[in-house]
Amino acid sequence: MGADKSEVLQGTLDMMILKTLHVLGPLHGFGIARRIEQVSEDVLTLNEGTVYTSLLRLQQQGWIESEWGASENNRRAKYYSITHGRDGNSLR
Amino acid sequence: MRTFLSKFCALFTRLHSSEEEFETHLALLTDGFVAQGMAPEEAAHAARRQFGNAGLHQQNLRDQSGFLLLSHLWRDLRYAVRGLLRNPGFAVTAIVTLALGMGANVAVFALIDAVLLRSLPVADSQRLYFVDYAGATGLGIAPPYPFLERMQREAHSLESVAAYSGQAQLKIRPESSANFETANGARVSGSYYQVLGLRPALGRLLTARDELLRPAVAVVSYDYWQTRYAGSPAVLGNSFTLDGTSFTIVGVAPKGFSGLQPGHRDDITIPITTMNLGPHDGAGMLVDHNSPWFQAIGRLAPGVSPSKARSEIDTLFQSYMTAFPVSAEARRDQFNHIELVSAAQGLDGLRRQYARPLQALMAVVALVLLIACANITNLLLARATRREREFAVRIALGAGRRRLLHQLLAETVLLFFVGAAASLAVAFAVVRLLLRFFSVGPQPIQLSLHFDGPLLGFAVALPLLATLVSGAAPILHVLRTDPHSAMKEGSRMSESRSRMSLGRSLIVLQVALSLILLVGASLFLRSLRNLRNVDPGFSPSQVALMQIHLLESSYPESAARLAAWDRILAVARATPGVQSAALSAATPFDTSGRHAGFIVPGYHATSDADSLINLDHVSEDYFKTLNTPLLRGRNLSASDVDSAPHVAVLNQTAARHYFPDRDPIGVEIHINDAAYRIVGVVQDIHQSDLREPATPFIFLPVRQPYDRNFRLTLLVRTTLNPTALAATLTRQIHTVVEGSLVMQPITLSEQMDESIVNERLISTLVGIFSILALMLSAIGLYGVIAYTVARRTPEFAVRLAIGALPQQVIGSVLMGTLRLLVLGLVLGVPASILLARAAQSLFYEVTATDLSAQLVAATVLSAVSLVASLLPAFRISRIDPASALRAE
Repeated sequence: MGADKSEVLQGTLDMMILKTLHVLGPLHGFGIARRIEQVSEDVLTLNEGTVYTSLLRLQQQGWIESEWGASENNRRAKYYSITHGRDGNSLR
Repeated sequence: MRTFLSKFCALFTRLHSSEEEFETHLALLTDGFVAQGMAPEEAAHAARRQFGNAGLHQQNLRDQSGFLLLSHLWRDLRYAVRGLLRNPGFAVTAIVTLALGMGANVAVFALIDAVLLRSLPVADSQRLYFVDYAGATGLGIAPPYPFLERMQREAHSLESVAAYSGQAQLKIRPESSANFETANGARVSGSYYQVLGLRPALGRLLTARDELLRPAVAVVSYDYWQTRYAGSPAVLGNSFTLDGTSFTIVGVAPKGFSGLQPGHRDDITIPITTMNLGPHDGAGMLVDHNSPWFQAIGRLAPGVSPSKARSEIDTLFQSYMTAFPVSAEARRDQFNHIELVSAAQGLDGLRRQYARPLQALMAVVALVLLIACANITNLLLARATRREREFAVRIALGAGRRRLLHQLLAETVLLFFVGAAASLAVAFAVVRLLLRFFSVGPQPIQLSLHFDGPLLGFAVALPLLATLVSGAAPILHVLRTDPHSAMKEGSRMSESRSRMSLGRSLIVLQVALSLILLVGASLFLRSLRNLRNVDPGFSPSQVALMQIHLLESSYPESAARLAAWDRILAVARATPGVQSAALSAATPFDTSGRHAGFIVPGYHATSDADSLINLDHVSEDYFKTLNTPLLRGRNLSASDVDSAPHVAVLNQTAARHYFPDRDPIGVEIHINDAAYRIVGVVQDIHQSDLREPATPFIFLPVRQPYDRNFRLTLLVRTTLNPTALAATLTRQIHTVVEGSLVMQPITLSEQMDESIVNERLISTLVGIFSILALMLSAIGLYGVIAYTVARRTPEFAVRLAIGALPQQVIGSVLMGTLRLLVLGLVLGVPASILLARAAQSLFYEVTATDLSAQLVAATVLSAVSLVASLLPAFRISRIDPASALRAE
């Protein structure tokens, strides 16, 4: 019961992250959250932090990779991008 | 896979990066809200709200990144350890029970592995076969030596074949020592080590050229090298003298290999052609066409099947038998055809002797383990019930059932593995004890245990299996806990029917199993007593035996030997405390056997076997020393010397068999070609087996020998301690006779005891295990009754409060016990009869259907059960109804 629902949600979130990165290119967690908020009609409201769990999982599964860089306010931020070679397959 | 790898790597890297990422995210959110016009503090709060619970996100990240199961397992284990430490009584009882139950099983399995399962430590043992002649009476050994030579030349289905003659007592004098000593020897073909595919640990092994004995070489075993030569490489080139020839040690056999006979160790291996070194009983054996005396072991050629090899060798055998014929009866019964017997496990003497006793033992310890597991299950059930409330609360607070299950599993597994570790210590001790049991006497059984393969698998699988069997029920029970009803007040009043009946059925099972074990122990003990009561035909106590070897180099002449034996008898008889002394080639139960052709005028042998008689050479006073009465005629005396008429004495069975309707006294018979006149008949002596009736025996005077008498046993009946006397005598013998070897003395009772070592071993062990089972069942019964009383205390309090007498309440509890007991007996008695019938061959003169054993066992069980239930029952009488009800 409870478990299933969250797994479906996770899957949806993963897809949305991949779609975002595919369209917008390399992005950090904040940027991804903003974009998802725009296009998903408040799926993420009040719980943006969950995007990081999805990002970690996608990293572990090899869909995306990460790199440290500087953010808009000159803090360190991790930028995520779709792994080279996976680009075509991921969003079908 | 990818996920696994990155998780694995994450075990070692830290996740500080996520803190920074979160901070950046929060800062960006805050900036956004500020840009929208919020005050900085308000913006920060709004950012936090939008982001969600940072701590929870961190936690999720950690869960995602690590091995969830592993960290939970570690946590569960620590909790389980604390739980056990908090309940030391339970923990100790459970662990000790497990240690004893599992330890006994591992020990017995270790023996079974060493005796029944282990293969020879040689290359590709599956391709090795013994070549045996076979006939109507069964399997024999290898055909005579000339046939082996023929096989070596013409049998192409065998890559190589070698002769093996083990268990030779070699009397050697190492070059560094002035005295002779004995070593276990084996005489083998030069191709022996090639057949086995072995490589030396040091130096080289025997080859075909060594058969020429130019020079004479020998190979020593690894263990002998370690003990006798301290493992020094200088052993190569060392020499010793044997049969007047000097042998040089050229190599050491590989570690772990000690010959083809499990249980025996070949210390020194020499070429088989050493049989020709004279003067020797063995000279001429290599060309004897008719006498089998060794084992032939061969390796199949590549690609050849055993059946193909058998038929090729059989063809050769048939033509050999045509060239060297034997009687038609022998041809049919013994030398009929060739069989190939797998040699992967070596010769089967030890296996045949101990297979059934070991299997019986395994069954016994398995029963004990079942009882132990039943106890553990009951203990775990009781414990789980006590923690019902705790589990109910945890489930209500949101712990998944799966988490609880994991934790319970961790507890149970921990318990069993601690028990398993303890059981290894028990097993070790038990095995050492058992090995010591076997290694006494002049023919000790030397087993080497290897803790690998099947044994290791068993030692690991057993705790797992026991965990599953014992732990399943309590865990299942906990899983079905309904939080609501468990937390209600007064929940202890209700009795969960299913749980109680499991506990009770286990008690019934334990009673049945204990009954079976007690009956078994009683039957084995009775067998042993029956065996001990068999009249062996002599008085075994107070007789010392010393086997004396006269060295051929010192006494080549028969006359010199007879003089030496006379001196030995004289010095023995002169020793204070000696009542009588005698010499004999064989003594009762010394496991030797000697027979010879026996021709009686007027008697026609009905078969080949019928024309053979058992033979012994004895001096005067032999029967007096043994306390065997003379029945007819006269005894042998000191005046029966070689120049006097040759005489002999028969035992009663021989007299009745060969002279059924006439007096044997005065009849001249022939031992093969030598003539002897019968002068007396003595009472039967059991020579080799208490179970079998005595066989026909003829006794020849030691001074009119048929055999060459280099080796005789001195028997001495004494009023003193036989063992102490033997030590004194040994010294005196060395003074009057040089060039002699006196073997380890033994008393006649000890020698007899060795023939029933199986029965003694089983009786002792089954006795111990059945007492153990009884104790475990008593503990189990006590536990269940105590638990029942504790749980039902409120109910009893109510009953007492409304006027029931304590005796009535106690009586109802005891009735419950009685019902369990009766059910257990009803189950156990028929099972014990069936099992007793299955094990019939292990008993002696005990009928499986005689119910007296069951009666005794049932009485003992009932008494023990009564005592076990009394203590908890008495607690009932101490219940104060008022306070018990108030506590609820």
